[in-house]
Amino acid sequence: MAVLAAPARRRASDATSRNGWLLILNGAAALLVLATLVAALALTPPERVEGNVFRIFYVHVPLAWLMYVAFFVVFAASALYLWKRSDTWDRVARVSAEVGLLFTTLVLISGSIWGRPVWGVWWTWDARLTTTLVLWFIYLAYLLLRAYAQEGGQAPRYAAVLGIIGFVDVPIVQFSVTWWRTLHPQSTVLESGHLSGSMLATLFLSLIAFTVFGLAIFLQRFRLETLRDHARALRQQLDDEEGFA
Amino acid sequence: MDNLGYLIAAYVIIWLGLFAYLFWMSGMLKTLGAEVEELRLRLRARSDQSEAGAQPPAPVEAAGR
Repeated sequence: MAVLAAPARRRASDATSRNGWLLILNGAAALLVLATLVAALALTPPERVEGNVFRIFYVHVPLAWLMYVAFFVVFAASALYLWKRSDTWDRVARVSAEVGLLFTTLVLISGSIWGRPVWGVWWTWDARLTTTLVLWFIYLAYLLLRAYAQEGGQAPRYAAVLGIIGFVDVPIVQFSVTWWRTLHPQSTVLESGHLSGSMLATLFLSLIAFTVFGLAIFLQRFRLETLRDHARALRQQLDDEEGFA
Repeated sequence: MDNLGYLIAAYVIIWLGLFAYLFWMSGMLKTLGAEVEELRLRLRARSDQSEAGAQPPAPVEAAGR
């Protein structure tokens, strides 16, 4: 009896320690995000030309960073899935695509709200904006493929291929402002001396805070997806046993 | 050029979006956790039933004694 109970006890202890780490990560994310909000909205001075609306920069840029990271994870996990055929890598790719799509949506919305007072338009077919919108559609297609494909079929393989090919748009988004000179400013924040010391400090704090927050969101979503797969497997087992009975 | 309204709108939409997603995830975690627990119980009950059914029936005379 004690021998049988040992793995269950070990699993329970692993889960408790995982939950402990998740709690610490969530707490750290909440504190860092709060510090970022105070720094971005109260401590950092307004920008000389744009004024207070420039403060959107401290959330827009970190969200774009998270978008890149999430889609890189989709790319890497998809390649690893094709190589190892492990369900875990498929799950990582699936979760990261969803989280990445959320960040891309928020990047597009925050950019549009920022663009209205600065450029005078909500939307323009600028190279950076257009390639980002294309990126949004690519990962929307990825998630639709996952949602509507038959269970246990070829969907993970097709999705992995799309996850790898779709990533081609990420460097295009990044370098679009260099290749085509349009409305969106170039990514020369650090080089141009455009930002003061406190602005740079807030930007770095914001990048760290959003990275921790993004990781917490990803892990929480991964936990949910693992539970969903587990429920699906249990349902299948129950159906099989009821079929035999 | 101040445009505080745009700044507030951007922050509100971003944080509402992120917190709505977190809220949805936490709700789904609760629902799925309960479903997994129920499925486990049903599977355990089924395996208990089949174990009981697989045991040989007690001899009639032994039961009568």
